[in-house]
This record gives sequence, structure tokens and C-alpha cells, in this order.
Amino acid sequence: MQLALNHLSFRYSRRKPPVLHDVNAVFEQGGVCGLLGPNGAGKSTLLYLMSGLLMPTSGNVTFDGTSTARRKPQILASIYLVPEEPSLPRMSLDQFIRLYAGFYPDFSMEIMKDALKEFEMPEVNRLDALSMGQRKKVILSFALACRTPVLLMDEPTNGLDIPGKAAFRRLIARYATDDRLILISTHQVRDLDRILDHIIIMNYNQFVINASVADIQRALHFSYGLRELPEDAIASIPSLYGFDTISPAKDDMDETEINLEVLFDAALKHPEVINNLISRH
Amino acid sequence: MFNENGKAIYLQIVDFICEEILAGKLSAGERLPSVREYAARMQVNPNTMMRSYEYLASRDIIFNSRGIGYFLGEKARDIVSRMKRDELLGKEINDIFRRLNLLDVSPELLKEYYEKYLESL
Amino acid sequence: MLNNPTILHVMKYPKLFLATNARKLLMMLGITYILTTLLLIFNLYATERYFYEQQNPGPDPINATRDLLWSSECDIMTFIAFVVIIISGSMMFGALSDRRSRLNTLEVPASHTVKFFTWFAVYLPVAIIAMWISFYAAQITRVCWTQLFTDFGSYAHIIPFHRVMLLEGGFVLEPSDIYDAMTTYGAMIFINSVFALGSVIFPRLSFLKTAISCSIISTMIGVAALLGHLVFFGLHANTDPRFAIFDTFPQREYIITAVMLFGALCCYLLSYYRFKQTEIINRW
Repeated sequence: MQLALNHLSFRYSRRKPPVLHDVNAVFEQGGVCGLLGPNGAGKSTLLYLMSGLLMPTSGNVTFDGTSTARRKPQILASIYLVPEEPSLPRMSLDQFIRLYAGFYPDFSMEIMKDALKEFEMPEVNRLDALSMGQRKKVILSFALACRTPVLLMDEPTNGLDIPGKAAFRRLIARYATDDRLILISTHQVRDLDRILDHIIIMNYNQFVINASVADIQRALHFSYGLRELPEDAIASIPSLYGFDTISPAKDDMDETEINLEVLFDAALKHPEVINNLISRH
Repeated sequence: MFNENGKAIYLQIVDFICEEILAGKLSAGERLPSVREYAARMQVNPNTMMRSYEYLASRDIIFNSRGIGYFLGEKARDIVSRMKRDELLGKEINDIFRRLNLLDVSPELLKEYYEKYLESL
Repeated sequence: MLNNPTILHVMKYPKLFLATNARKLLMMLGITYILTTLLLIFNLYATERYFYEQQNPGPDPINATRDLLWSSECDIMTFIAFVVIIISGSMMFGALSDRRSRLNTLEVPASHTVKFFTWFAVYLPVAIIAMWISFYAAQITRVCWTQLFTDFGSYAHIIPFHRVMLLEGGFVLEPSDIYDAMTTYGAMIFINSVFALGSVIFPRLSFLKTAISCSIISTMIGVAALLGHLVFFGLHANTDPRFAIFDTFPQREYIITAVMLFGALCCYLLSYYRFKQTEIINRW
């Protein structure tokens, strides 16, 4: 399974600047990838392009070689998109499953039940009468149960209550299998930083960072709560006890946990430095 | 459990499992939860969990029985004990020694306090 | 598995569409029935009043009243048929009308062809059949009303169902009725296709925008035709024998129907291709 972005460019209209410009990337199966970027950077746009809801201005997105913009049913059944504000039809949950699950050949009822239990969702009779948070829980459960090779999520934890966020993390950990690609676009880095194993940061119509968490941890050293800024700090943000910083990693140091907030700052300000360090390792 | 200290999560998980071993909550030969189950419990990426298990396996604390799962090694408790002691006396304790030295605490005074602590147990 | 769609696979989307739109469709059926019934009953009283005021009923008043009533009822039903067919055309791509609905519709794993044919089938042939059923039900209601609440004895006749389908009154079925029905249905299908094309081009306020566009375009065509006629024939009628076919019946009916069906085909094809290019945002 391979999802490829080939010279992908997109702009909403000729008057507006391009949201994506000549982006190239290949996603293979097996991984939970986080898509970060400032507001308006084009995260939702990228997800729509991947699922065929938008047509590229030039270039294309291919799933195993076929362009997703053609919306062939086999591809639509292999890519599931959970939008930021999902809507559900006016029917019971059972009827919803009976009508929609048949489109996804690998749909698993056990996973659906497990996810709903994890989210503590009771039996539902009128799906359209649910609050946004509850609707998200239902759609997220359904999305995981479909077991599509590609699962795209736009701000999945937005609107979830605190137990819901924990449940979401547990479910991703449980069901992010090696034959699946899960791509999560988010601003809520604290909700998700531990379940990601690949990070993409978007800015100025490019992917400024596209690396695995393991590579980033090998190349960069993250310090927390330092009293003084070290000389080789690439970026820093003030935190509770001092500064959280990023410096180049040295061989004698233990690997440190990624601080997505500083990394984000560093990626936007000094992307070349970060990428040089990552590619060197 | 996860603090902002910055230590890589997989290493923090290793520490946690080591504490469980030292506290006797896991016995030799006992089967550990699968990578995915434990990852779900910890709410971390399964790859992170995998690294923790690999770290422990590389030090013979746990071993992988292909197809069945991970089990606690026979000598696990001793190995962990030794490893943690090396860490404590090798690196972690230097911070305390630095402060003791700064406050002019002699080794004899330190010994007194340590013995008083052991008696109170 | 999805590479070889079997009948079962193909039926999944229609089943989904019907289940999610059942309320809306049944409501339309109900409204058509109620509207038709009200107009038929109103027409009943109007016809009775008209006959009451007739000084000279004529040699066969009972059959004459029945013919008049059926003929006016068919006019009413034809009018309602056009209204229904225009509205159902406007709703054909209603699944793409707002952003949320577009996202849900486009993401369902079914081919564009299946989705298009589902909507087409529901909003044309099924709409027509539902219309016939509600007309016939309205007829039955009207007859019951006549017998229960009025003393217009001679009006308690129900139009035979095939007449409802042909939308033609008159007791004796003549060939001209068939040709009229052919052109009427040809026109209905063409108008349906035009509004369907409008509903895919204008997701918002499609009825209004299509109506306005059609008025503008047909005015332009009308003006062009008028100018063309003036240029070639001046103020006289067209006496060129090559155009005589437009005065012969039934050839004229065949040509008109054929042109309208061809136009409908073009509109449906255009709307299918426009649908394939639909995105979640509205570029136009």
C-alpha cells in the first residue's frame, strides 16, 4: 500500500496564494503520522486532496498508482476520512452500521463495539440528536472498525472530553496495525504527541519537516526547564521552570522525548537547520 | 508517570517496568502484556512500546518467545537490581553529592543519617 | 471484491440513499397528493357551478359533464405534473447541495455511475410513477368526496388509470391523445433534465437560478428565432415546401419529441460529467 503525493500543487483560486506547491512525499503502511502546521497552512486541504474531495491544481495524489481524484470505489473504500465536524444521518446506530458498513470489506463489528465501549457510548437511537463530541466518538469508532488501509483524521480530539481523549489514544495504540497508515491533522499536540511515530510540519505550502519520531529523537536533544539557554540551542520557548529548548544531539546523551511545541517553533523559524541535523543521522 | 523531564518515553516505560520487577509485581517466567495491549494501556505508539521491550530484551531482562509473547527472564530481578544500582551510584547520585559537598556534609554525617533511616524501617 | 460489482454491491448505494431520504420523498408524495386533491375538489365545484349556470345543457348533459370534468382534471394534473417534474429535477443533485452533504456523498465508496443512476431513477421514473399513484389516489378521494359531501351525482366518475398516465381526458381514446401524451412526456423529461443540470451547476438555490437562467436563455433563443424568421421570411408565414413537415401530423410530434429527448440526453450527460468534477468546495 502506498499513498504518494507527486508534485502536488493546489490553490483555491487564482487570486489566492497556493496552499501547496510541488509537494512530494510517499506514505507507506504502518504508522501513525501527525500533520501539524499553523492555521491556514493547508492541513485540511491536504486531507481533502488525499481523499478525492478536491482536485489538485497540478500534480496528483495516487493510491497504489491510481489518482484519488478519480474517486474510484475501490480507493474510496480504502481511504476513510473523519472530518473535523462530522454529521450523522437521522437513524439509529444499528441502522447506520447496517447501511454503511457494507461498503468497507474489512469492517469489524468487534472493533466497533470495543471502541464504543472504550468511549463509554451508550446505545443510540437517534444519531442526529447527539452532541458534537458524541458524534465524533461514533464516527471515530466506525472509522477504526472499517480497517481501511488509510485512515485520515482532521482534528479528531477536538470536542472530545478528557476521558474521550484518553480513550482515543488507547484505541489508536490498539488498532494502529502494521498494514495501516493513520494520518492525524491536529493543533492539539499535547493530546497526541505520544501516539505519533512520524511527524509532518507544514508551512508556506511545503512540508518543512517530514521525519519519523525515531530519527528526530536521534538527531535532536530536547531539554526542559533549563535556567539558561545553552549556546547551541536551535530554538527555545519559555516554560514553567525556565526554557524548553532544542539542541543538536550528542552521542553521550540519552535520547529525549520530543517536545512538539518547541519543534514546531523551530520548524517554522529554522527548518533548514533541523532538516540538516535529521538527515545527517 | 510521564513527566516533563524530557527522558524519552520508551525509557520512562522501561523505568516503570523495572520498578514493577523490583517491587515483585512481576515474577520470573510470567508473561508480559503484548506490545499492543501495553501500548494501549500506556496510551503510546506501539513502536514506542516496542522500543521499551527491545531495550529490556537486549539486557536479558525479558525474552521474546516467538509467536507467544514476552516473558520475564529468570535472572530479571538481579539484572534490574544491578542496572538500577549502577545508574544510581554512577550518575543520579552525583547531583546529591554535589549538594552535600556544597553544604559541607561530611561522609560520617551522611553515614549517620543513612543508618538512622535504615533503623526506622 | 469491489472490482467485480455484483447486483448486491450495486444495490448498496440505492438502499442507503432511499433509507436516508425516505422521509423527504414520502413527504413530497404526500404533498403532491394533497395539492392535487385540493385542486380537483375545487375544480369539481367550479365545473358544477359552470354547468349550473348553463342555460342550454345540450343533448347529452351527463356525458358532457363527465368529459368536461375529466378534461379539466387532466389539465390540472398536467400542470401539477410539470411542477413536480421541475422540482424533482431541481432535487436530483440535492445530495451535493451543502458542504457536509457533499462530503458524505462523495466519500461513499460507490462509483459516480451508480450514484448518478440512483438519483436519476428516483427523481425521474420513480417520481413519475409516484405522481401517477398520487393522482389516482386524488381521483379516488375526489370521487369519494363527490359521493359523500355533494349531490353532484353525475360527477361521481373516476378517470381510468391509463388516462391518468396519458394525462388526457375524453371518453374515447383517440390517436391524437397518444401523440399529445408523447410530446407532453418528452417535454417533461426535457424540463426535468434542464433543472437537473441546473441543480448540479448551482448547488445553492438551484431552482431559482435555473429558472432565471432558462428564462434568459429561452428569451435569447426566442429572439434569435424571431429575427431568423424575419430575415428569411419577413412578416409572412413560412411557405417553403421543405418546411412542410412541421405541419404534418404525426411527423411533427415525432420530431418535437425526438428533439426534446435528445436535448434531455445532452443535459443528463452534461450533468453526469459535471458531477464527476464536483469538489467539496463550490468553485463556481
